[in-house]
Amino acid sequence: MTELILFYSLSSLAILFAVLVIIRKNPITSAIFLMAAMISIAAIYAVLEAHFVFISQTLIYTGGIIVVIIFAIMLLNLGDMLPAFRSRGKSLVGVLAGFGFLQLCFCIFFFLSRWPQNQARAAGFGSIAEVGKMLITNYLFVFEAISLLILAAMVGVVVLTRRRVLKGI
Amino acid sequence: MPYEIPTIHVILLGATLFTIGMIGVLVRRNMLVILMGIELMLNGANVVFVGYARLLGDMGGHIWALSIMAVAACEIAIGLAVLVTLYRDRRTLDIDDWQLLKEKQVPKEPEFPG
Repeated sequence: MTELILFYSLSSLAILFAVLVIIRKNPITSAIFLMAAMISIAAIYAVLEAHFVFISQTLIYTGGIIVVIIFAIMLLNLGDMLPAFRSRGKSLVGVLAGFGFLQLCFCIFFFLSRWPQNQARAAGFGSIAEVGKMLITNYLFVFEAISLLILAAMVGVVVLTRRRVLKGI
Repeated sequence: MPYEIPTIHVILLGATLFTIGMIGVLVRRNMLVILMGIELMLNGANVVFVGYARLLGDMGGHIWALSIMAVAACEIAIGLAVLVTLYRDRRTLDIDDWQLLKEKQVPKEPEFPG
């Protein structure tokens, strides 16, 4: 019962914060609301028994990605950009596309007649030990591919942000 | 268990977060807020993965959720690097000013003798 209460209150908080992210004009305010949304989503993962995903969501997303976004906002010194939303026609197309997609998702899931039963979960479901076991045995290729991707991203960031070097020096 | 969280609601939460992020990408002008919308979309997909993992008792959903987080970190790094380079060029982050992909003509750099 507490799981249900927690899940519904946290998910309404997450949706509220997400809407506030895209509504507010100041990019710093959007970033702070995005951080709040990430923390609520992390709490939802904890309620759904995904303990390691909860930890890594908090560390990587709120502690890494949003901090880097805030660095970029403060370094570039943007402040309030006067026209925050695109022109009326383009905004309308965007909102209609979004609502159409959401209606599609709702219709798919409400008209499903059969839904599988909850399968039995192992004793240590979602714990770090299980994640470690999976990474080494079944998902080893995914693990190695992610390391290669991170390396490529680091090299790419350094290459992209070099200033142009004059010839002859 | 008498009071399980219905998985359909978890999937719909993921779909709603994804839609809100998508609307943010299509509606806002500031490139940084567009990047934040992309992060919201990735989080929506993550919620769907974790929901199905809980339904099926399979840990693969969690591993994929972690991979999506790693991919999001790499993508935000590269995206911000591109953004900083673009900002150095024209001093604006308005997406409507960046609609045309054509560059200004950069004058040819002078050759140094010797």
